[in-house]
Amino acid sequence: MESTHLSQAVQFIFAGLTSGSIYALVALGFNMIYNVTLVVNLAQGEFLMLGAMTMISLYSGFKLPLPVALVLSTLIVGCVGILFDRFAIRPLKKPSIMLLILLTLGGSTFLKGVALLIWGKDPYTAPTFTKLKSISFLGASFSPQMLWIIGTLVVVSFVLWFFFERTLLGKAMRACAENPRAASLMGVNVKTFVMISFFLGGALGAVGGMLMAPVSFMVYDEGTMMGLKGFASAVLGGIGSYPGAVVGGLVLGLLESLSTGYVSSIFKDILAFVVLLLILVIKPTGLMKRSDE
Amino acid sequence: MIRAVPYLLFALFIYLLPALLAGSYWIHVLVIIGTYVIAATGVDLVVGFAGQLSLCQAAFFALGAYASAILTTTYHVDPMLALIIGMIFTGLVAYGVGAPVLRLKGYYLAIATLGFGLIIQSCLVTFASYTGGPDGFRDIVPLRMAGYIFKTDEQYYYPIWTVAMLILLLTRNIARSKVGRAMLALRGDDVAASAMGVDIARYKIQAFVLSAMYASLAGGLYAHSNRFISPQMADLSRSVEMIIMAVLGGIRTVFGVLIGTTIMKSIPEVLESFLDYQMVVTGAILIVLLLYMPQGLIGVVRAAVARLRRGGER
Repeated sequence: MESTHLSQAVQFIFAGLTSGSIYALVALGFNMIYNVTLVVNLAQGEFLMLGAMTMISLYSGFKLPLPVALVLSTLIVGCVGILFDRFAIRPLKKPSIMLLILLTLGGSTFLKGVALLIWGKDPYTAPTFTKLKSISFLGASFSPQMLWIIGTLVVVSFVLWFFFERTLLGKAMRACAENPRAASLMGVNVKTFVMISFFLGGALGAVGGMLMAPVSFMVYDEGTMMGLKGFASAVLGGIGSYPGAVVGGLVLGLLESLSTGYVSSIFKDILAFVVLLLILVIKPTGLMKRSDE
Repeated sequence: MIRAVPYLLFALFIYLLPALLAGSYWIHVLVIIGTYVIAATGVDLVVGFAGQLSLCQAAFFALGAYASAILTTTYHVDPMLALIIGMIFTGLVAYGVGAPVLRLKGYYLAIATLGFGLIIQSCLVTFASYTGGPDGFRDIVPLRMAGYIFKTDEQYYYPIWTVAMLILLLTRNIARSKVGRAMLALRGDDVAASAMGVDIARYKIQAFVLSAMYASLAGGLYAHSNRFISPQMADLSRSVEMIIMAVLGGIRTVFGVLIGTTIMKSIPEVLESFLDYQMVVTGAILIVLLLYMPQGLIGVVRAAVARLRRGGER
C-alpha cells in the first residue's frame, strides 16, 4: 500500500518535472529576448509550435536523419525569429509597451495562421529520440524522452546564465536593454545584438517544441497555451531572471501535475493563470528577485 | 447644431439601409456588425481613452452572452431583464478583477487581463451542466419586448443599431466630459495626472467596468439574435479582433469604431474561402496597422488631405 502511494507520487513528480522543464525552456526564451530588447514576446509559444512541426515534417515527411532534422529546425525557427524582429518589431518608430504587446500578439496570430495553412488542423507527434522502452524508478515508469528534456534544460539554462552573466559579449547584449544609446556609444552594435537575441529566442523555442513533440501531440494552435504558461513561469520566477525561469517553470509544472493527480484535473489549464494573477497582485517582482535590482 | 448634422445623417442612413438591402444576406452581417460596434466602443474607451490594455474584452462579451442565455433559456427570465442582470453581473466581475489588476502597468496588466480571459473561457468549457460545455449553448430564447418576439435579422436590425448608436453617443459625450479628459490624462502620463489631482485609480476602474458592461450588453444581444454561442467567443483571438476594430478605423473616434468593425466583420463575408486565411490576414492587418498607420484609416485620409492642401497652396 505504502509503495503504491510512493510510486504514484513519484509518477506525478516526474510528469510535473517534464512539463515544467518545457515551461522553463519557454520562459528562458522570453527572458532571453526581454533582457536584450525589453520586448515581451508573446509569440514565443508559436516558435515552440513551429519547431515541433518543422522537425516532424523534416523527419517523418522528408525522411531526414533525426539529428539533421533537429539542427535544421532549430536554425529555421531561429531565422523565423530574425524575420519576426525585422518585419514586426524593428519598423516601429516610437516603441511603447502597449504597441509592442499588440505587435507580438499580431505576430503570434500570423505565425499560427501560417502553420494552419501549412499543416492544417491535424495533430502530429514524433518518435522519442532514443529507442528505449520506458524506464522504471521507485515503481513509477516514465518515457526516456524525459531525460532528454530535463538534461537539455540543465545545459541550456547553465549556458545562458554563464553567457549573460560571465562573458563580455553577454554583458554587452544586456547593455542593449539597459541603455541602447549608451551601449551603441560604447561600440555595441545594438541592431545586430537584437537580431541575435531574436534568433536565439526562436531557436530556444524550437528546442522546447522538438523535445515536447514525442511526448505530446502538436497542433497549429498548441503554441499559444504553452507560450502563456511559459510566460506565467517567467513572471513567477521574476521576469528577466534565468534561474527564476527554471524555478518558475518547474514549480508551475509540479503544481499542475500534483493538483491534477490529487485534487482534480478540471482546472489543470487555468491553474497557471490563477497562480499568475495571484503573483502579479501580491508580488509582481516574482519569487526570485533579480540580482541587479 | 451644425456639428450634429453628420450624426443625424448617419442615423438616417442606418435606418434606411434595410430598405436598400431588403432580403439580402447583408442584413445578417449588419446585425453582427451592430453588436460588435457596442463591444468595440467599450474597447475604445478602456484602451483608446484610458490607455489600459485590456485583453479580456471577449471574455466580458461571453459572460454577457452566457448570462443572457442561461437566465432566459434555463430559468425563463424575461430577455430584457436578463440583459440588464447580465450587464450588472459582468460589471461586478469587472470591478472585482479590475480593482487589484488595474494597479498593474504595461506588460503585467496585459498578461493579467489575458490570464483572466483564459480563466473565463476555461470555466465556460468546464461547467458544462450550465453552459453546454465545449459544444456551446443551443436554441437560446429570442428577444421579446412587450409581447413582441424578434425572430428575423430584419427584426433585430433596428433595436440593435438603435442601442449601438445610443452607446456611441453616450461614449462620445463621456469622452468630452470631465471624466473623458481625466481618462485621456492618465493615458498620457498617469503620474502627472495623479499629481494634478486626478484620481487615477477611480477613472481606470470606471473605464474598465463601463467597457465590460458594453461588452456584456453586446454579448447578450448577440446570444439572442444568433441563438447559439460557444466558449470560443471568449478566446484571446476575439479580444485581439475587438482591439483591431477599435484601432483600424481610427482610435478615439466614433466613426473610426464603425469603420473598423464594419471592415473586420465584412472581410470574412467578402472572401468566402477566407476561413483558413483568417488568422494570417488578422495578424498581418494588426502588424501593418500598428507599424504604418497608428491613427487608423481616418488618420491616413486626414494626412492625405493635409498633404493635398499643402500642395495646393504652393
